Amino acid sequence: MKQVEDALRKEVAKLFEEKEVDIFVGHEAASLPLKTSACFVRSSEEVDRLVWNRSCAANLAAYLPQLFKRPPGLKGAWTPPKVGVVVKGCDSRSIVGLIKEKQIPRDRLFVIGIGCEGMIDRHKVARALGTAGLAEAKIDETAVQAIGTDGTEKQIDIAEALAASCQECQHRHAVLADLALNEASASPAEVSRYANVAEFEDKSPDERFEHLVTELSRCIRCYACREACPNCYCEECFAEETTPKWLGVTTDLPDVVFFHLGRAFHQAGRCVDCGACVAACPQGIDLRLLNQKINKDVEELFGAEASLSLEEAGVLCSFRMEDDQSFMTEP
Amino acid sequence: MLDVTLEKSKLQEFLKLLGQKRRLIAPVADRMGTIFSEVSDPSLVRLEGVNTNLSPKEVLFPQWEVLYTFNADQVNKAEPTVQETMLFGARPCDARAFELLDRVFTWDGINDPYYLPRREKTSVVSLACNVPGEACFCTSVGGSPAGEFGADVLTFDLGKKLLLRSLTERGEKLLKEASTLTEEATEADKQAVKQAVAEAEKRLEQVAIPEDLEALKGSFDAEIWEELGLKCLGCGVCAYACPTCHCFDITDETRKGAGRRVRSWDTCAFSLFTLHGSGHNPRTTQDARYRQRVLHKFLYCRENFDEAFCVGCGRCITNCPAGLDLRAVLERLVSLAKTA
Repeated sequence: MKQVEDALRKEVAKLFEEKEVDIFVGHEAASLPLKTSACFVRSSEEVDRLVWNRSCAANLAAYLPQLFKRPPGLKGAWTPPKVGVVVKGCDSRSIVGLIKEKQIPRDRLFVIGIGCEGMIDRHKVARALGTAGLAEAKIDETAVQAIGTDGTEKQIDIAEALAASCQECQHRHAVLADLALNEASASPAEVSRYANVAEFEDKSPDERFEHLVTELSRCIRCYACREACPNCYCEECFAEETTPKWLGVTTDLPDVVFFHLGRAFHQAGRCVDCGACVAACPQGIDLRLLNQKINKDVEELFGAEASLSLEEAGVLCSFRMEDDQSFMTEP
Repeated sequence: MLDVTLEKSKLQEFLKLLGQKRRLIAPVADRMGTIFSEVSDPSLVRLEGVNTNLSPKEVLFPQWEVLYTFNADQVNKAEPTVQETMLFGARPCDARAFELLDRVFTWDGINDPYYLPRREKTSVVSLACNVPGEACFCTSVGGSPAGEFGADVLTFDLGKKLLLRSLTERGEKLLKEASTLTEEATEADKQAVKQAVAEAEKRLEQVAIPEDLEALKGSFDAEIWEELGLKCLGCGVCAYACPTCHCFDITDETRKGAGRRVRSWDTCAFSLFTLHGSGHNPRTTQDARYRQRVLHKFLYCRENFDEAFCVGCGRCITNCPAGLDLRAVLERLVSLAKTA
């Protein structure tokens, strides 16, 4: 991974020297173990800030649309910057989605794709450690060694410590890249996909409802899931519209369920299962389940996965006569 | 001041006894560590570990509450739900945060009729920290792992037993109520407490805090906010997890001619926070919003309440999905002040 990180820094420095980009979006170390932070590099001298490791879970596509927005209050002509970005497979799919939805311009973007071996779920490691704070984490090829603020130590198998989305990931390489690094090392996960959804589908309606209530009643309406999601770029979210007002501001179940189901449906045919919402949630809610259920339905009904290519229109943006229409019912 | 000890084996009995006359809120196990919850079975109470993932602010200042109900003919003030409560196991940073919230909700002689009744009915039994959490910095912002502000009783974990120290009259009454279960603390117990506090303080990181208010004012247009604004996702995790953030929104919810006025937590990180009815928004960028959060805590609150509104609990750091660290921002502001 160190080699990939070095290569990344070298390539980004070259991009600045050749004036290919004005700004490069990558990950940098954050102060806590197993955390990174998006960073915005503006010259070749700054490339050593960039890191590539098992904690680069954030989907950097979410940070891109803001860079292409005209600065508020600016008068006169404005040219959007040339932006470079480093992506995992999932991030690259989000970028494809954002380009197709006209939120970012392909011609102002330079994408470096890195074959991804999966990112660590920090919450899982903290949970395995118990009640102490996470003081330090050492990672090697096979395990995460977590050290608590009280000195306790715990070893977690790396495969177990990976985010659920990474454990089931089928698209580890960028589907859109101007330059690809670490191409050989990553292969798709050998697991049954949608295992969590199948388990959910097997439940009775009452059990399914109970599961959703258990999960969603934890929500504190902080909107971290929405803000970390590249697909949630709406200027005004339905959750906050006032004319009409779709839902209230409380943490009562109807408001919370309306928000999360609404958000999940707005992801239909668009969610790439990057896991950013799960990683962002301070309450550890299994937000992935709803999105994966819809992803599974989309795949079964329309044979499509979201944002695998620029050419293919999103399932809800296209119509084919042979599309499954069994879900339509008489009024 | 009353110093008594309680064998840990008698803790459940102690909580049960005091819980007979009041609601008990205490840390219980949660998938995110521990979390404050109303407890009817004291065996669920967890003292081990570091501070809870979210603060106990909600006990006094709920995430949302109804202020009024109304229909076409009348407006009725909603009575806040107030119960005699014991908040057990709040950390000293959280207890100190209550003391800061008190200043906001009694500011300028205006007493908040929803917050204060709850505050008056809530006894705070705090628990001193032996082991700091991963982002704790209470001693840098005027706190201590054994701080006394805002609590009625301060508890020390001495391994096999707890030492409970009353800090207020209410605290003393509480301890006397359970006196059948406790013993008078010995000199050795008190020495053990002193040693534990000294050790905990040693383990805490020191963070440079910007003290020069004029320099902080001068940082308003500093470049540092730009990158922080780009990094900040604009969610409400930091403010909602924060024990001192107290901004709220007021919304009317109406249906078929009747409705209610709801107060709910809000945060300066949201773009809607300052959006005017006219469509104008004085804080158009996330830079301005992130700056507001930092300067409100470390500049405006000092101007208004003579104290920074940060107790160093570290929850904004551990929970930030963007990996932002308030400590690093404070240190940058300090070095900015030095170079200015």
